[in-house]
This record gives sequence, structure tokens and C-alpha cells, in this order.
Amino acid sequence: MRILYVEDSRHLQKSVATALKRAGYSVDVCGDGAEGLHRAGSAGYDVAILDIMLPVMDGMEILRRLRAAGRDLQVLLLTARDAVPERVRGLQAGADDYLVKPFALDELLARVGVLCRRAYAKKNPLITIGDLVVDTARRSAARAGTSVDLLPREFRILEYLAMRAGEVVSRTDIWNHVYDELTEPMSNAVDSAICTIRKKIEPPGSARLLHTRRGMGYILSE
Amino acid sequence: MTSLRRQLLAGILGSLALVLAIAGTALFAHIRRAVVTEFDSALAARANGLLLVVEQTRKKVDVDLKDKFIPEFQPGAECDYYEIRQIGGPFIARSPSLDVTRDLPGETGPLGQFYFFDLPLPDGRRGRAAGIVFQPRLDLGKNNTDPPPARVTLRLVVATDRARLDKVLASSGTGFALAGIAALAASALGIFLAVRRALAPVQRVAGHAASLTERSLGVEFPVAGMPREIVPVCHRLNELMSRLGAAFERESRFSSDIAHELRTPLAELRTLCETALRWPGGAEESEATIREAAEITLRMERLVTTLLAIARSERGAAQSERAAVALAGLVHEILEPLLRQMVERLITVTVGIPESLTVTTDPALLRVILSNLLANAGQHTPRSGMIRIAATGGSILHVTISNTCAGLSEADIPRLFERFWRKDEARPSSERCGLGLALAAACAKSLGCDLSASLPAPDTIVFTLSIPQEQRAGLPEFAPAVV
Repeated sequence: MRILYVEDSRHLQKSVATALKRAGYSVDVCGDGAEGLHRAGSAGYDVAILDIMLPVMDGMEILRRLRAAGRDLQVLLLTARDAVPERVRGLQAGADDYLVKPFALDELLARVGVLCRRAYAKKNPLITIGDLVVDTARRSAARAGTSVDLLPREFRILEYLAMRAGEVVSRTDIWNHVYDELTEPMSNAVDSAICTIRKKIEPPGSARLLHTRRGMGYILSE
Repeated sequence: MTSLRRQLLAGILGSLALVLAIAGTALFAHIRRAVVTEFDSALAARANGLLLVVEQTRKKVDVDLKDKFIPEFQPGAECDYYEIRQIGGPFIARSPSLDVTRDLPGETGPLGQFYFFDLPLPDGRRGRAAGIVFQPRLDLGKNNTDPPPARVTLRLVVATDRARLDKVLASSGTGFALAGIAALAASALGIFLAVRRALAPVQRVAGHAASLTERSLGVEFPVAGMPREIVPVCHRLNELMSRLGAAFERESRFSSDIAHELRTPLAELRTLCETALRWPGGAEESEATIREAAEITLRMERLVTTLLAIARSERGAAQSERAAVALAGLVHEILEPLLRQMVERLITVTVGIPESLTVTTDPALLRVILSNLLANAGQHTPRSGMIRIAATGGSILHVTISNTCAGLSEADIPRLFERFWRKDEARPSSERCGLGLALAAACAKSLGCDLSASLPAPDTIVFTLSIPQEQRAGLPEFAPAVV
């Protein structure tokens, strides 16, 4: 899952981005509203976390313009403004959630997790495909009751495929939603990661779950 | 609690009752006197009739009265009385109605003049009498040359029942009293309605005041339809409410701003600590975290210290130590650490303050004012812009700091000195918290100086620190110098 964090406090940028990355998300950060709007408008982000008081353009304006342009990514407003009318205004402008500073890190991570699931219409953090269970909350996977040892990026790809289980997912989609902007683009990065994941979730003798659709992408299904 | 309406009603009705009572009493006394005089005149006329029939002969006093022709003097239930008596001697004549065993009470008066008095009649009724002391006319007979006898002096008293008089007086008195009470009652109603109507605007003002809350301070006291006397009160109240509303809004905004300003560093600190605790790094990473936490804490401390300084300056609690300060030297000293950044951004700085100019003031507060004004100019002057510091004389010394600016409008000028106000609401750097100009203004106030801002051109802002004459020590001579 890929997250855009728009915040002008460099301390918060650093801490929140670190926490989100450690929690298994791909995170891009920017410090002003105009850049935030530009980035949020591009494909690939599942969740945008917006501060309201931002230089150049405030978070509410970004939100309004995103919704006006038909962008339906999940938006969490993270701000020091705590009055009820301001929360209501934020939610009415199209925000999916609202969190007031200072906040508990666990709560932020939990809310971001909920928004990621909501982006793919999943209410249950456990996603089951045959005998493969992907736990998006605990960031773990198990095949036929046996835990699968995945690296963070491998889990992010599996999680993204599990969120879209039954759908053909292109390499571009995987790249956009799993890799952040700092990752060097490599032509076979996705393919090699898929290959590794396949080996890990499909031990010898087990049924194939991760299928390749030539020229189209990958699909996770029974 | 005293009531204005009750006080007015009581005062007006009390006064009216007193006036009615005095006027009624005077009028009644006048009428009473007229009625009694009329009654007495009738008595005197009857006495005069009796005087005509009394005459003195050489031998005796003769009363030639045929009683039977004067029926009211005959004995009866409503009879009248008369009595003629010689002064210091025996009675001469009396009415048949007067019992021989009873005399009419006697009073005397001047000779030939009637006098009147009340008395109990012999049959017990209340009566009124007319009396006169007189000398009867002489009847000496015809062709008589003997010397006349000595004149006798007699007293005539005629008494009658005064029940009719009393009845007229009593009915007049009752009539007056009832008329007075009725007039008072009618007046009370009229006065009550008039007072209520007159006080209705006051009631409306009081009702409006009672309905005011801190959220409805903007709702003005109604002026339309108010009496002339109340309109100025409403205007003053509206002005007061307007000032109060602005102060409430400012304080509310300040509380909200301070909460916001503290929430952000608190969030930074908390997230930093929680991230470090949850995913502990190596020694180098931990040191960076601690350094960052210290930086955030220092920013919070700076914020709180500045707010306290503003509050103290606004209360006038700042220590004021007066000393002569060389203005140009102080400006150069403050500019020195700022210059490098200004030069890098190609900003031209001009100082037009004579070296000899000194002011006698609190050096620390003056430094705070100028530091904040110059730092503000340094931060907001765009690349290749200009900053000019000058001093101009007159009865008041004006120290001006003008700089190139962008994006400010006249509407922004009154808000420049508000705490936490920024043209751009976001925090462009952790060094700025929107308190510098507020602190400078509070310090200027504490020094008895005036700090104002103006926008002579859309791209130039001028801050003027006006220092009163008593704080000046040296005369300025305009001598610009480029730093």
C-alpha cells in the first residue's frame, strides 16, 4: 500500500514517514499544498494523509480539488484543529477520517490500515485465498496453517495482490502501489519479486494460487 | 432591589397627593369661610331687626317686640333664642323659647360691632350666635327739656341651631375628599401608563442586555424608535459591545492559536518518541532522535517564553532601566548576524541614522523591538529587495524600518501585530511562530512608544517606532549610510 503524507513540519514528516515505512507501507512525503495536490493527482496512492495548515495551498483545498477531479483515494486529515465544526467541515469536504494532533502512533497506524482496506472494500484484516491467509493487520501470511516468511516488500506485493484477489493486476499497478518514489526503477523488479513470493507461498505439492497472465499481469486466486 | 418604575410612581403619586391635599384644604377653607360668613350675616340681620325695637326712655329700657309675630323664637323643637342684657346688670328681654332659668352664654366685643361664636344651645343642640354690645336709641318724649339720662350699655345675643351650617360644611368636605381621591386614582392610572410607556425603551435595552452572551455580542442594541435620551446610551453600548466582541474574538483566536502552536510540537515530540520506542535504532539513530527532541523542546520553550514576555510587557511589568543608547550602534549590532543571509539574497540594506543620535530608554526592550522588526524585515524581504532603516526628527523621534514586501494588503495592516498572525497560515520554518511583531508592539507600549505599520506602496511596508521627546538625548541629523 502506498501512502502520500503532506505535512509542513519537517519533524513530523520524518517521524511519521519512518513509522509508516516500518509498518510496511510505501510512503512519499511533501511539504506544501501545491506539490501535495500534484502528487495526489497521480496514480498509485491508496491513502493520502493531509495536514490542513500548509504553505501555498491548505489541506482542505487539496481535498476539495481532489474530490472535484473525481479522485477517490482515501484521505485522512491530520491536523491540530480540534473543534467539532472543523472536523465536520473536513469530513463534509470529502475526508474519510480525521485525526487531531497530538495523536498516538498506534492509532494513526490503525486508521491508515482501515483506510487501506476500505480502499479495496475489505472489512476483515484477514484475506483468505484457498488455504492462503494474508493478515494485513499483523503483516503476516500463512499457507495451510504454516507461516510464510516474507520480506517487507514481498509482503506488500502479496498484500496488494490479496486486496485485489481475483483481479488481474498489471506490473505497473504493482509498481505504483508498492514502490515509493525513491526506489530506482528496474525493468524486472516486479517479476523477480513475484517469482520469490511464488516460491514462498507455493511449496512443492501445493495448489497454484499466484497465476501469470501473459502480457497482462498477475492474479491471485484459487 | 429598587425599581425605577416604582420609584417614579411613588414619587409622582406622593407629590400629586400632597398637592391635591393642600389645594383641597385651601379651597375647602375658603368655601367654609364663605358659608359661615353667609350664615353669620343672616344671624346679624336678625339681630339688627331686634336692635330696632330696643329704646331707652328716661326711666327704663323698653323693648317693643311682639313675640308672637316672630314664630322662630317661640318654644319648639327647632326654635331660636335671643337675649338682651345690660352689661354688668340684669337682663332686659329674652325670647319665649329661652327658659327663665337659663342664660345664653355671654361674650363681649367692641361697642357696635357684631361678633360671632359657637355655643351649646339650652336644649342641647349645637348652636351659633351673633352678639353685639350697643347703646339703645333714646326716647326722651316730646318738648322735654330735662337733661337726658345716662346711656345704658346693653348686649344682644341671637343664637340659632347650626345643624344646617354643619351639614353644608360636611357635605362640602366629603365632596372635596371624594373628588380628591377620584382625581388621585385617575391620575395614578394615567401616570402608571405614562411611566410604563416612557420606561419601555429602557426595558427593551435591559431585555437586550440580558439576552447577550459571548456569542451574541455582535447583535447591536436597537436604536430605531428609541427616545432621544436613550439613543446615545445605545450608541455607547454598541461601541462597547463592538470592542468587547473584538476582544473576545481576539482572545478566542489567541487561545485557539496557542493550542494549535503547542499541539504541533507536542505531536512532533510524541511521534518521535513513540517511533523511537517502537523501532529502536542504533546509538547514532538514538542520538539523532534525542537531538531532534531537544530541538522541538527548545522551540516550545521559546514559544512559551515569548508569550510570557508579551504578557508581562502588556501588563507593564517589564523592568524598565533607563540608559543612553546610541541608536545607530544598536542597529548595526542587531543587523550583523542577519547581514550574511541578506547579502546572499542580494538584499540592499541602508541605515540612515546619525552616529551621534542617542535615546534614553530601556536598552533591553529597545533591542527586543528593533531585533524583531529587523528579523521580520530580513525574513519577508524578497530576493533582490531593499531594507531601509532611518531616523527622522521633530517633536517625536521616528525610527522607520521599511522593506520590500509581497502579497500584503491594507486589510492585513491592523492584524500585523496580533499574536500568531501570519499572512500564510502554515509554518514555513520552525524558527517563526508569528509572535515577533506582537512582542515588539508590547515592548514599545511598555516603553511608552508607539509602533505602527503602513503600506505606502503595494510592495513596500514601513514600520515606525515613535519615541517621545523625553526619551531623546541627541538631535538626529539625516545622514544615510550604506551597510
